Amino acid sequence: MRRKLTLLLLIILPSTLLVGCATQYDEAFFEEAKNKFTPEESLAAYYYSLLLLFAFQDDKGMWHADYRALTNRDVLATVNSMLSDIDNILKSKFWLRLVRRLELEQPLLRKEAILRYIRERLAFRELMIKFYKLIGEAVPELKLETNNPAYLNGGGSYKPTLKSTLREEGSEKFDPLILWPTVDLRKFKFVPTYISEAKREGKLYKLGDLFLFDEEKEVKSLYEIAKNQTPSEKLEKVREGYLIRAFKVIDPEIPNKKQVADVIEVFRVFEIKLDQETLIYQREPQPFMIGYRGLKSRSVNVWVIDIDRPEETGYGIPNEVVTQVNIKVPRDLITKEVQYAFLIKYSRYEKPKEKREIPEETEIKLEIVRAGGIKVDPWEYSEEGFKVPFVYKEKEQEEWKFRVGVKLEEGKILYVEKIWYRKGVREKFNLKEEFAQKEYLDAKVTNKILTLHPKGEFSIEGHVDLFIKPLPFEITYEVENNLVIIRDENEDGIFEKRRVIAK
Amino acid sequence: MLKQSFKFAITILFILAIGGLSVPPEPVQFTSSPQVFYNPSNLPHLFLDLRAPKETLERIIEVNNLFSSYLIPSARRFGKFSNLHPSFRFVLEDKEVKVLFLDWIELELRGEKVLKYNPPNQLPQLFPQNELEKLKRKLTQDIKIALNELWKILEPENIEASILDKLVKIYGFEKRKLLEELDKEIQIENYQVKVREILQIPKFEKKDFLPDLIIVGELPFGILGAATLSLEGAKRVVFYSPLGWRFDFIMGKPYILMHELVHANTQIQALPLVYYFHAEMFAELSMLMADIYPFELFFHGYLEPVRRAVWNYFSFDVREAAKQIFSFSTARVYTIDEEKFRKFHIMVQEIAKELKRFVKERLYPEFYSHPLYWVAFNTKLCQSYAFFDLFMGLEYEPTILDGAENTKKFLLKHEKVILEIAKKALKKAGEKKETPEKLEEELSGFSFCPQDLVWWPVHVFPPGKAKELINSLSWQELKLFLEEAFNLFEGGDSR
Ligand SMILES: [Zn+2]
Repeated sequence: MRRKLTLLLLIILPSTLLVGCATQYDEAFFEEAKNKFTPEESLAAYYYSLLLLFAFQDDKGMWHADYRALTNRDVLATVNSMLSDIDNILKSKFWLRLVRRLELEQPLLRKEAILRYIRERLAFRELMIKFYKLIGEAVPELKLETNNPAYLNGGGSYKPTLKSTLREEGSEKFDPLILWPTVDLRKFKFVPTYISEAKREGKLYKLGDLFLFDEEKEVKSLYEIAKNQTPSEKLEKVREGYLIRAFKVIDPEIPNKKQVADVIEVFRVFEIKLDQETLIYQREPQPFMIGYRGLKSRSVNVWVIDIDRPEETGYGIPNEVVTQVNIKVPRDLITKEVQYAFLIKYSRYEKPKEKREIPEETEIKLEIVRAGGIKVDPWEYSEEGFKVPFVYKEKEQEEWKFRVGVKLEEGKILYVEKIWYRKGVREKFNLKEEFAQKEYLDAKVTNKILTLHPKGEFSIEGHVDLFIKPLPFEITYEVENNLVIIRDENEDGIFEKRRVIAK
Repeated sequence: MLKQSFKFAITILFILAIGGLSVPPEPVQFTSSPQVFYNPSNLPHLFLDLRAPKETLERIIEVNNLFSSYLIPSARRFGKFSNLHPSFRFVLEDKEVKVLFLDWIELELRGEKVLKYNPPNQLPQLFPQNELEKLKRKLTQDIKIALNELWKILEPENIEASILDKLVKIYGFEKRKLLEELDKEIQIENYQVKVREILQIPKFEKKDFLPDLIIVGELPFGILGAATLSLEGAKRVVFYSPLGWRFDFIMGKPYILMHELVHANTQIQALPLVYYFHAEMFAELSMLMADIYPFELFFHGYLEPVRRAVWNYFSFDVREAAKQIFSFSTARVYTIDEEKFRKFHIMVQEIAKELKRFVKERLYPEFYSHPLYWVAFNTKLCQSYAFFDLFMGLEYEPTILDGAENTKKFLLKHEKVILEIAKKALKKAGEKKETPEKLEEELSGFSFCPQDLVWWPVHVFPPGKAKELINSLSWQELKLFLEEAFNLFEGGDSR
């Protein structure tokens, strides 16, 4: 029997593929396979490819999910993406309002904290992977303290047997144990196996210590003083410096003449003034920077960096592994420009703060502006331009009679000032284009030397004229109890605006 | 910044009712002297014109009639909130649930209290006050049924045990030690968090399926139900449209409600994890499992991955079967071959039975023992159901190429070629394609992979029509509607 039905609706009949905004794996697979296989064969091949890539077979031929088929970075990327989802919800005014109505804000913040925690662990593992790869050794396995053999601990019958070209990512693989808080990450010390073995066998020797106080660039051998001191909270840190210590693996069986270090540790050291006469030296318990020689390198080239200070929670857990510089002996760190900049960068490094702008409800303001209201412009204008009516810059030999000031606000340098103090004239300069775009953590002046600390880059230091445009955009001077400001806004050297302010 | 509208809030059951969109809106007329409709039955007025046949084919015909008679033009509109909507509360499993009847209003007419059924853009109807009691009774009943049915088909205690077994096997803990481990609390920033919560391993409780608020009111496009995605500790909302309720009446069980209750459960569909797997398929699979209606498999857009896997692993070509049963004479008229229907129906029931076992014994335990790993997997493949496709392979031998043996021979022979193709495909996965502008505008800033709830309109609307439909959606109206709905939490009992 056949029945006829009127259909007012569109039934979505099975289609081979879903449509979407980005290419899916299956879609790409079928596209690639269409010239080689029939549709049925393609389908079988597609499902089989998932097994080949992401599962393994045991002795009995049973397939099991392989939780190590992805890389650590794959998982990290997804956690990052989830964090940005939460961030996207919480920073939209509209959604935040709804979220608050549903009392979802607190749970979201809690979830965000958990995801951040997971991200830190994954990032740590990523760092471990990077470190051992650079050194040229195998990445240490994570282990749970359990009694029974489990396939993740290398026991049991779950042994991956399948080898495929795609799965040779080896040490970069994700290890699900990284997510278990029971696996204590502080146990992993980022020490190459060849070093820890040498240490155990008594073959690691200290090459020497080097002190440096960077402000005056002095090198003192004061380590013995520091060693006998106990830290006290009342003490004031006066100057910050570094203790650089080098080690070498010396094996009597292997003749080795070169005094090239295998390990270089850099500690922060503080010069502390106890009273008018007594200075003591104190160092942080752990180095903030340790360099190791990679197995294929002739100098120390792999640097483990812990930017946290002892009082911060992340202290003792590395934040970065970098390979920007090569160093053979400790002295290289202070005598070579690039190496020195590297040292300064990480010792003064400040972590970028994660801060979300929580949208506020727009405030409703009432503002009535009457037509024809009085318009006031405090500036006078002149086509030929205004000038400082007296000589304030001395001749060449007295060129140095100015001081330098710098104004930094919210990461932007608003201006650099030259203050001609004898005549009370201030010139304000903009930074040159190449420096103006950057965001700065700090800016300091010592005499005429300007030191800028761009975010996420090496600090730059040099004579002030290196950084500023040749002409000032504003000059302030005083005449007869009036403060006069002249300004050049189009950088043509003509100060077209003037403003007089009574003192 | 009014973005991520859909990303956050709405998951929509969208099986039907797309075709009617091209019908122009009917002018709305109100009668000048309203008549109160007398309803002698114990059933609410919504169900008086419907039948609930036991036989599947009869049901399909009845459902078809329901959607055919439904005035789809009105479906573009959202209901309007006022303070006249009746509401009530009930307690189930120690949880208080509030219900608001958005499409009804309590009025006084000639000194008498009446209930007005007033869905958007449809003719209003008046009922005596006791109609409200009938609605309340039926809804309370249906929620109870939905909850018990879900609990019965999923058997969450067994799923939980399977998850633990899996973890024991993989990590080598003893079971007691594992439970201790999962309950260990650690300090994360200002929070005390259990290991279980970090690893997102669910613990099932009946009450977690219950939302805090159920809004009964028509939704645009003939959407049958919707739910907010949420997190433990927040208020959760389920939208249940009278159309969906009527659909459930015909089916004999509250399927739509069950589907939405799965979304409402934050143990299994928590933010933001839920964006990274085919949460709709999970919700819909529980409906497929609830016997009697395995015919979902033929039509439901959310079950597309299931259909494909069924073809590969069970040799059953759903698309071909559908073609043989339903033949279209014109675009809107089809005939059903009853003989074929009965033949395939038996097969589909077999499949549903097998899938039931698969879902409980493989899908849930595998996914929820390592949820973070599997969502990363989906992201890598840019495919929200990739985990499902893989799990099917862990459980079954493919049979598509003339039986298991032949298929296996073929695959082993072509292993190298398959890996080459796979390598290329993996590289291509995640490449961005064209997106309807309107959707891009509303959702910019969100990741395109894997595609699931966030981008649902793109893969739920039929290809070719998606762009037009998405652009015609009134985002502003949707936002207003949600805002008013969630405002109900501030006003407390006043509404
Ligand atoms: Zn849904």
